[in-house]
Amino acid sequence: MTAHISFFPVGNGDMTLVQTEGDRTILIDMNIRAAADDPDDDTPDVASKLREKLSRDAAGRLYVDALLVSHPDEDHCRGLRKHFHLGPPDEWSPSADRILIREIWSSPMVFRRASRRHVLCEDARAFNAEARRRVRRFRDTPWAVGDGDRILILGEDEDGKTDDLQGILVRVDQAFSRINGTEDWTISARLLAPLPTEDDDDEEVLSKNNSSTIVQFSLAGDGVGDKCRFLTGGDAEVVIWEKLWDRHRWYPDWLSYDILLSPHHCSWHSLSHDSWSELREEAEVSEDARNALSQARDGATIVASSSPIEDDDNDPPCIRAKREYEAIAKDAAGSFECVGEHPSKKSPDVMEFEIGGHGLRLMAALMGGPTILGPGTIGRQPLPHG
Amino acid sequence: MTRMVARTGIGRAVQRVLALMGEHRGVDAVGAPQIDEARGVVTVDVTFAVNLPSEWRRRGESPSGVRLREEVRFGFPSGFPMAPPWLSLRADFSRNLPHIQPWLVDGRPVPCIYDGHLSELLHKEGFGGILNQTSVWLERAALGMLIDPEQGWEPVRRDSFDDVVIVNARDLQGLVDRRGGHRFLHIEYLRAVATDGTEFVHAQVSSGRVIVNRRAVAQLFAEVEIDREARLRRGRSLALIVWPGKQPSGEPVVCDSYFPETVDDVAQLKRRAELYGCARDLNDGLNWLRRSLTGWSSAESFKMVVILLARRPFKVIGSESPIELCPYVVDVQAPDPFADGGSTTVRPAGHCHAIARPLLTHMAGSTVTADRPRWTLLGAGSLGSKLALHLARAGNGPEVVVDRSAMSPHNAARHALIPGTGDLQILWTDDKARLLSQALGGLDQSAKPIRANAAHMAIAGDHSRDAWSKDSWAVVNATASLAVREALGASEAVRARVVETSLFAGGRVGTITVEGPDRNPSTTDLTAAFYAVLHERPDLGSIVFNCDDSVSRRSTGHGCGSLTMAMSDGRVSLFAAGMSEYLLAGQREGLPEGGGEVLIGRLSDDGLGVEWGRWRIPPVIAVQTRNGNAWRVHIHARALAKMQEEAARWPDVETGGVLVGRLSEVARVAHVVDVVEAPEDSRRASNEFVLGTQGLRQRLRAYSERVDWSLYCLGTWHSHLGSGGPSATDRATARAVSLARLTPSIFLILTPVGFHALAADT
Repeated sequence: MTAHISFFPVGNGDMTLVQTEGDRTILIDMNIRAAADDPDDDTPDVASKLREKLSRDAAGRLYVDALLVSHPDEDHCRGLRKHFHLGPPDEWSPSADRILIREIWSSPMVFRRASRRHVLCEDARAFNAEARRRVRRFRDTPWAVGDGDRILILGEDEDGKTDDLQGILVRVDQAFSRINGTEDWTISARLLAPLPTEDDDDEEVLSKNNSSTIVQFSLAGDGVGDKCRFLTGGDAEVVIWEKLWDRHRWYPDWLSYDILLSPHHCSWHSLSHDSWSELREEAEVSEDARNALSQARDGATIVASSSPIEDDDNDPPCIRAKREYEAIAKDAAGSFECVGEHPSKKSPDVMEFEIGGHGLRLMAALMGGPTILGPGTIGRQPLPHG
Repeated sequence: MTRMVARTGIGRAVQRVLALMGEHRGVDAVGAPQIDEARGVVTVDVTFAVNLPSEWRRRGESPSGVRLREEVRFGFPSGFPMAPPWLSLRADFSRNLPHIQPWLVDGRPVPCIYDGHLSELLHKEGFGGILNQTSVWLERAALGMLIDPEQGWEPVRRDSFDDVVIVNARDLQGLVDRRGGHRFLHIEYLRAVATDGTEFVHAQVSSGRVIVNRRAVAQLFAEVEIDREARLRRGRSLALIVWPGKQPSGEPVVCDSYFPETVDDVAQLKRRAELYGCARDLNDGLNWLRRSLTGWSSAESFKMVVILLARRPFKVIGSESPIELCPYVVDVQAPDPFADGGSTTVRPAGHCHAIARPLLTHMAGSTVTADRPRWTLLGAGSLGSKLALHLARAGNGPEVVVDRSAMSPHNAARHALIPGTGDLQILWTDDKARLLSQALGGLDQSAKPIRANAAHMAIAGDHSRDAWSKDSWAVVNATASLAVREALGASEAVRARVVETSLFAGGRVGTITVEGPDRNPSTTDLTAAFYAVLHERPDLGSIVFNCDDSVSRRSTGHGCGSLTMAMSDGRVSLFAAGMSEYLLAGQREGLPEGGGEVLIGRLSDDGLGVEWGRWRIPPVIAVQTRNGNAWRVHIHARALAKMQEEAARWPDVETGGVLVGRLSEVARVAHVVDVVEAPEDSRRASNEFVLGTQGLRQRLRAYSERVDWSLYCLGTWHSHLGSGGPSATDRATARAVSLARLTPSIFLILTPVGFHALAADT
């Protein structure tokens, strides 16, 4: 099948589906808000749109081959319990018909206890519990772990907590093509972060956002490898991007991309140490962070997974960050796209890219009957009749 | 995006479209509308954003020349939305792309965004659909995907030309060899003048080769007026067919570039031939023509057809060949063929396939390569002729048509063929079989006509070798003749399965009966089965049997009449249409396996439709009677099940009942379709079963009356506890019964290992 990358319109949050030529599906984060599940609400029904893109296995279960939760914030895992099956796969119920996660990709953060810095929402706690269940399953019977029980730990944890998990551990800087237990040579994923912590790291560095998993995917298009590189990094902030630049400045190829999911929903904090709302145009861009985020290949697209970006004090999404990304995209003869504005602010829809023999291409958004023939305000708001 | 505000001079419909354009997801900007007050035309330039792949974005355009932003001009005529809008691309947009129209609008290329009339798309999907298609078209043009090798080579658009050349593409594709060359073929043409004064030509190319030389030319060209008022002329002339050979490397010349049709004179035609790699072959042909014409001087000019055959890299859409036909028409005269030399006008022409079986099968949605099934039609009357033509129009007409009679004037009321015009229509009175076969020939499906009585053929074997074989798909009996049915049921000569189609009760009920594999159940078994169904379905039975006027003698002239049903042609067609569809499906997918079928169609109460029901009829069990081998008994599944059930109820004593069915005298077959239970006063013992009488006669009478005596008492059956055949008692009873009956009686004995049968025939 043709490889695709789809960004779901989830406001300020992330939800990205990667479909490879080798027919694997990798979901990165989710932010399925209650309003999105409400048929009477105009918020795009992203759960249904996701389900349309997934296949069912022989047992009739809708599945993703892998789910990566970049970090345990609500805008990256909201809706997990409602829409995904958690627990042993044989407890999957046809009536609930939740999506089976064949393999979980998790950062080692799941081994941390909740703390003042580390407050978790219900969905994040459920994700951690599920990840720990799968790790236990691996520890108990490593030779007999099947679909729905698999897990990969992306990055080593401190204090040797992951030392006994070699079979399911991916180290930073390592590239892998093993998706749900088998190789898919049409994709390669390189783990760039979370970086191992250093003794002098301060509180900011150790925040949840900065524990985000950062991966550079390389995808084949039309049978040719590496036709599209996709860099995605959760909510990683400026210090992380500075560190990455420091690590890879002599070989920035590992940071290059044809499509970049701008970190933290187009936040200024990924590009600068300064506050946008306080300093406005006085705020300074971190040269190193910008370097890390500007390894765009020709024709690259930078995507903001956020609400529409207005010229105001908001951050994220931040208009100044948008301008910075637009400048990066322009240098690459590429473009900047905001999911919340695609194809229109009024009715955002899934932003889908196709990967072909000539690289990445935004797929045409056509106008469906509902757009033209929809009832307008009828049914959306009370209409007084005299 | 430019938002439109209501403007004076722009109609409401166009204003709505302008608003929609601004909202469309693929539209980047909408320009200011221009109004041509004189023509009432509004034009607007709309900029579409084209999603180019990342590798091409820096250059800003695709290798095919499509840019990141493409301006498309939409023109809205005053009649919009009844009249469709037109589209055009920037003037320097590449025309060497498929799906580009052959004409220009204000010097701008016109994309062909929809495979059909734009007005149809407009009314189907609204203007949003047109915007969507434009957006998709631009992206495909950018990606070089307007031609999809999987689907085939998109031929140059020719569907807008007024001139049409009719020729069987396969015939011409078959001429093409690796040497290159040319050939002259005969054509006939109609030259007419449209109401606006423009001339147009319809030419048909014959498949026969023609010799062109100085002596022959005077006979090759002619033209006569056939209707002065309509300015219609008919002529005969030549077609010059030209095809490319090979390159110096030995590889065949292939033209893998798309060129829109822009030829308008002889010089350009020659340049086009160069592009297709057949310039030398065209010149050879034209030089030969010039030489042949030198000795003759024509008073007028004639229409000639030139067809360039272009070899494409893969098969042309709708064809199994990579050879594309590019026809043109040009005026020729003698001695110098082209009046104005290189600037003599040449008009590109559209191409139509000649009426040929592949075209018909294609139009009917069937596989073009599927062979025409071999089948025989018995009866070329109103129903049979309709079946034959429906199937022939799908490419599956019969190969043999049998009918014993000549066409009569009254047949014009319902026959599928139409009499010729004129005061004298004597040709209409030819044999039905021959007339129908001629019509089939016009549909490129030759059929052998046999004027004969199908009943004699089936029994005596007359014409049998010509009429059917064991390889025939089926013999379809549409004669409505009971004699033919009986003969087919009895025939050893007919090896193919028989399908019978009939109408009953003034066209209120129709049936299709289909024999099973090895003709079991046979067509007469199925008739009996049909009556048994009617017994179970009194709603249908009452229509079939209670219709007094179903068949009657209709006067067709003084002292002449015909035994037929009175009904309209449309009603025959209602049933014929369903029957044809059944036959066509049977030809494509095969007839039912594991038994036969009875289909009963019932006219709806309002007379507008037919609802068909289907009954599967399992094979019958055939039992030869012991005395004299004269009669066979065919036991139908329904009767068999009832007898076995009854015998199982009485395992320790003999039991029995009465057989119901009908006799086929010709085949000497007793069709046992049902059994009636023994009356209460019957006695059962281990060595004897005595059939009682209480109420039995009334029950048998009621049974038969319900189906108008089409089913009746055939005799009795009883069980034996052992495997033994008829006892002395059985034989005595049989004799006694036969003496008291006018029809043969059957005595059936069910034993644990099978049946024994006795016939009592006085």
